Amino acid sequence: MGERGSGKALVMAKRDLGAFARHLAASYLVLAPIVEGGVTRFAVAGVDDIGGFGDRESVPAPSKRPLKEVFFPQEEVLLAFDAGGKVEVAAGAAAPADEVTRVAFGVRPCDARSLTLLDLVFDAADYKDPYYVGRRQGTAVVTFACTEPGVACFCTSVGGGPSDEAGSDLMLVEAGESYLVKPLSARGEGLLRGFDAVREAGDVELAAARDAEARAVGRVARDVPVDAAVEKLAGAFGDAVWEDLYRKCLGCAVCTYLCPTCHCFDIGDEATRAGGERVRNWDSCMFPLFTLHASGHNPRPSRKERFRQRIMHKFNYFVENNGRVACVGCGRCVENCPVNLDVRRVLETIAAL
Amino acid sequence: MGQATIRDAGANPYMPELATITQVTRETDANDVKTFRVEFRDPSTWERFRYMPGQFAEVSVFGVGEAPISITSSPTQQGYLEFSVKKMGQVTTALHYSSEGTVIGVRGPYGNTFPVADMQGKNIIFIGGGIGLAPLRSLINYVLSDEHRGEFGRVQIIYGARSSGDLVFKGELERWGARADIDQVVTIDRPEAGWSGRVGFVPAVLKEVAPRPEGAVAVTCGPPIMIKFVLSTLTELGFAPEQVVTTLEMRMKCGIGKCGRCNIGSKYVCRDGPVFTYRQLLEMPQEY
Repeated sequence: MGERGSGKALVMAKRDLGAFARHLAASYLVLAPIVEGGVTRFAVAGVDDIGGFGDRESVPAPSKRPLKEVFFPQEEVLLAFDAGGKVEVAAGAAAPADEVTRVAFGVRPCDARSLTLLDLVFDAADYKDPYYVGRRQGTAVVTFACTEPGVACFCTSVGGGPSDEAGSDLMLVEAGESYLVKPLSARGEGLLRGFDAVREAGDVELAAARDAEARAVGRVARDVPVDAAVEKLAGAFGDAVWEDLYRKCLGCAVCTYLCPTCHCFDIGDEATRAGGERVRNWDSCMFPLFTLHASGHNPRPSRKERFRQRIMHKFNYFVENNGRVACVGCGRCVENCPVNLDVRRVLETIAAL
Repeated sequence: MGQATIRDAGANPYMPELATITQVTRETDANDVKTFRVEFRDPSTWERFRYMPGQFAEVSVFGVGEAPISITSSPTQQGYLEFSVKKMGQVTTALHYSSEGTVIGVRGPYGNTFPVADMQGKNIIFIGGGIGLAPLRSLINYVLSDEHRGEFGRVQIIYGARSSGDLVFKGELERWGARADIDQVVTIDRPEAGWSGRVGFVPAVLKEVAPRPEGAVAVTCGPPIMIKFVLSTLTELGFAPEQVVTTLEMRMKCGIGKCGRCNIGSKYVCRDGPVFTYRQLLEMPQEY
């Protein structure tokens, strides 16, 4: 978002990462991958967490829960109403912000890229979601290029990569004992203002970063034939392949909850004696209630239709509507599926039709 | 299809307008369908709420929730909106327990409109079943209004319900039936003591009435099974898929193409519909 930065690459010593985090925390609310109850998620980073970034001399661990909840929380109050018929936007709900107040720190390129897909939905030309847009405008994204892609990663198959810059305001790339610091927007440059532990990158550091980036690309585990699958899906709605593909699926929806680009939601009222709240929650196309009509009719009555919907939405419908696949290849759905229903295998099967 | 006007992009699209129920009309003998007339508490709301036949609104009962309901009044009837609601789920049940004076939420109008411009100069055949007459009623009253009647040709209405007690808008059916510029056939599924009208399912009656396709547009809404047979009957009668228009229902939450549940293929019923031609339906996956 915003205008591009100068593009001039800078470097900082790895040991200064904690100082940089503290620099950010002095002016912004820093959200970083924090272990909460055994699960890593983006949450407000405390002093200990921020100091720890430097001690480890490494980036925060990849988050199990996706970045999306920083902008589109699992549950949020949209409106509050009282018994007298007064309705107002819930207190604290973000209005479009003029200035950056939060920094998402320790983001991975796949998660940063997911924001550019969510923007197409929530920041659309016709209707804008003010809750999402407000948080998006008020949050800068500091991304760490991946050097050791995970076993389930396939970002390079969906247009991304270990150092993909889409959606990021500032990117840090490991270069030996330093981080190459790439401002990617005016907002990213703003984050560096007043932080004097950076200097202009030299040729050695630039070359080291380039090497690291190339090595990381080579380490992405799998080439998935996404383009071929997208092509085949255009005529695959009625194909018999779905009869087999869905069978393992339990309908647990973990793939959609942990997906950084899944954005389906439910809206419901929670009443109290004095009034109540209109609440939005994540929802999932894997659940039968998602499409159940009040009449009892359900256009997607079985797991087959629901599984097909998930694949078609990401790799066909979203492409038709927005020109891009709604997948960043983060591999969370692969790693967390309890029955190992691997989307990479699904795409390979479809590509081979 | 007609395109909806896009509202102020800076506004909060989830914020409902407040409206007061000013009239409740019991439509059916079983009392499972009621028509609610509502008026905006703030009359300036009308500057933002400009609608055309075919559009719907998210209607909310505060503390219970929202439901997408087609607007059954015509924009030519000014100063109020009407929603005809069958008691089906939580929100519609709560509406049924609401009386005059109750304040509800209304946000919209959403979706596309019936293709009014494409219908100019054409004969229009309305084919409705049960509560499916509700969205058609908006267009019928628009076409029959003094301002617009001259823009359209002959009007035919074929309407049916399970029994005479299930017919909705009985007063209007009488008025429409009495007009010289309308051919109206009302049918019920099974014979009934005291019923002198037609008996038979809507598609069968449509086949008997056999409207001519030349220079005509057919607009249909009703239970899915009725729509299915009406579409095939119209095809038998020589109507091209482009000449047949219907309006679909889906479970919806946001109404603005974001919450992700009302899609048929890549089309969102809330945004790209709810009005589709049969031609469009033929090109969409059969998942509705």
